[in-house]
Amino acid sequence: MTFGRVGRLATSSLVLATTLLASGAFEPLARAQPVRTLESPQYFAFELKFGPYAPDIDSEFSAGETPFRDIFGSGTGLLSQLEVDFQLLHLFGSLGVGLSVGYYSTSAETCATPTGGTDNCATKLSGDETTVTLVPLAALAVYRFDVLADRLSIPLVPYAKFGLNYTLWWMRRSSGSISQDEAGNKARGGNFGWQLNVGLALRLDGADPGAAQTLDADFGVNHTYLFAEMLHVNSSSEPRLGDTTVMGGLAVEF
Amino acid sequence: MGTDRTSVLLACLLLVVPRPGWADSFTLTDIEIRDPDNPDAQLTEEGPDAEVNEFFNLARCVCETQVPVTFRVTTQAGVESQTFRIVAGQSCIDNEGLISDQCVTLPYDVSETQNVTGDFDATLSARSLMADAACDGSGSNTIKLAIYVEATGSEADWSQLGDQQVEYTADVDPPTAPEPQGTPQGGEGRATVSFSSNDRGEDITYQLLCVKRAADGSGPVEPWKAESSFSPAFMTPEALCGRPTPNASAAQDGAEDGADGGASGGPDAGVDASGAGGPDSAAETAAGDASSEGGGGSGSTRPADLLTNRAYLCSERLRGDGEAAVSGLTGESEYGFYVVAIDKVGNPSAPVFLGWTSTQPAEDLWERYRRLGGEGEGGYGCAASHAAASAPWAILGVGLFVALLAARRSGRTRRKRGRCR
Repeated sequence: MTFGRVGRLATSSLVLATTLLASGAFEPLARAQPVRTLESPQYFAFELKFGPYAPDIDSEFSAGETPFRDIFGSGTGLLSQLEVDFQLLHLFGSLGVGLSVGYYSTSAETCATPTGGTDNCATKLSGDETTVTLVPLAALAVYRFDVLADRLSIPLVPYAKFGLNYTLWWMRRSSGSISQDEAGNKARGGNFGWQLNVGLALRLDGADPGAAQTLDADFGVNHTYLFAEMLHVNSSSEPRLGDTTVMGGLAVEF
Repeated sequence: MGTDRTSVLLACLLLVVPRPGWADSFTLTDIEIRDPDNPDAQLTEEGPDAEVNEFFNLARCVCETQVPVTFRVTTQAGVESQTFRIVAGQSCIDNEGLISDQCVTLPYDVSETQNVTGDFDATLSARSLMADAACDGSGSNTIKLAIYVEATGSEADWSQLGDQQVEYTADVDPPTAPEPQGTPQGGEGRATVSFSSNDRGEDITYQLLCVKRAADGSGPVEPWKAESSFSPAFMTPEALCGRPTPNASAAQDGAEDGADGGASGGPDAGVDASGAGGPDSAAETAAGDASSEGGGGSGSTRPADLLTNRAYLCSERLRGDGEAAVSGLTGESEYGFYVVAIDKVGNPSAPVFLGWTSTQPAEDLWERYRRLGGEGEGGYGCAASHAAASAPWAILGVGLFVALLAARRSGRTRRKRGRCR
């Protein structure tokens, strides 16, 4: 995914959030702020998020070869991620550490081996598929600037995360066996890298203050969010499995 | 499949035949044929879905299927030691009154002088229960279970205490053959085939059969492998006590009828199918002709032993129609594919030819990446299936969330901070 697409998605998200705020959709939230209720302590955050993803395998090639694009085209697969954060400090915003795990798998038909002509994988073999699977793991430092929401009743929480990433990967054939090259190297391994998440979360407590207070009183859930973030994963070794994309999902702090 | 023939025609019949006076000391009751899957329950014998009907329809294909039976014998006071025998089938006792080896002997020694009731459990093969050990009978069939008692000291003086006969209707009507959909597509070491069902009855399943010949289309048609790891999901003549099924016979007749037109008129003229090992000349059936024409003009030659030689089996039982894949193919041969529909009692339809195809070399992402100069070498780490790769993480993540939430709710981590909204 290119930065251009990411930029358009991020811009769209901000415009949507601004429009919602301007239209008074979260007016109840503003009215709810003056109500003084004792909030339970907050230590954790949990996120479930999804987004398009396409490993940037082709970036390794400088002469224009595009093995991934040849087979999978310009489409993307779905990356699903879970993240648990431990919020260590609550000063000017919250600072914590997080662990995330994701899953991505996409399949496409294999290329008919060229017997002449252009080697562009123009002919695919119906029913004969190749599958690439990624399981990205990450340890992150997380900062959430929730001062605006806590003190100024603006239900937006910008945040940033940075950390180390390790992505387990493998590729299979239709038969279920791990792919092998002519030298017998099996298509599986793990790549270290780093990742950066920058996002904006929309605090939903104001949409139904009563329910929010009930969640806190009964379950200890302090806040719920809808969020969108830009995710950049950099892979330090080959094959390059990183991408820059936009993720969206639901988060709770508790 | 002849639903009108699935009803049980006759329930159990307990007969008390004339016998010597000494035999009157015995009373036989409660002869029951038990459900092999649940010996505590009796096979139901009435109604269109009678278990005994379905069971013996299946058992006739596997003659050695073990069937539990129970009965009760009460002896009157004063009876000396006796031996009972279960006599199954209808030709168990020869003309000289001797019981053949297939009968099950149950020694029952009575020493008491009072009335004694004995409950017997025995296990018999389906073959021994069926009349004349004919497992493959069509139409109405009778299974017979008789209990005999031996007079003291006489090897050939047996008296029948009673018997139970159950009549079931053998379903030997094959399901409607499926239809090919398109032509098989070859991949690397595999091929995919498509077919659609013509029989919307319940419990129709399918199985694929594969043949091969030289890659240039010449040479004998033979099983796709010397030995197949798959088991037939349908009745085979071998399972039917060595007798061909009516369906198989019909199919074979069709093959013989169509031998001339199929072998000489089609593009495969000259294909020597006798190498498949069958005793009869192999040729195309009408179904094979029709399907092969629809499949692009590449005819098929059906081996005579297609349904009898396990080496042709190339898939497990398929639960539905549509697309199916066969793997384990090599580039040295051209492969032909057949599909049979199978009803719930194991009757196969006539095999339908789906077409010929060859494997094609293919390049997956890894091969292409490496061939184009990708520097990643892989070769380490682990790999898992979709479910194994995603489910544990999802369970772990959600479980951690729930656990933390529960801990928070219970107040174990609660520390009032007094923040005000």
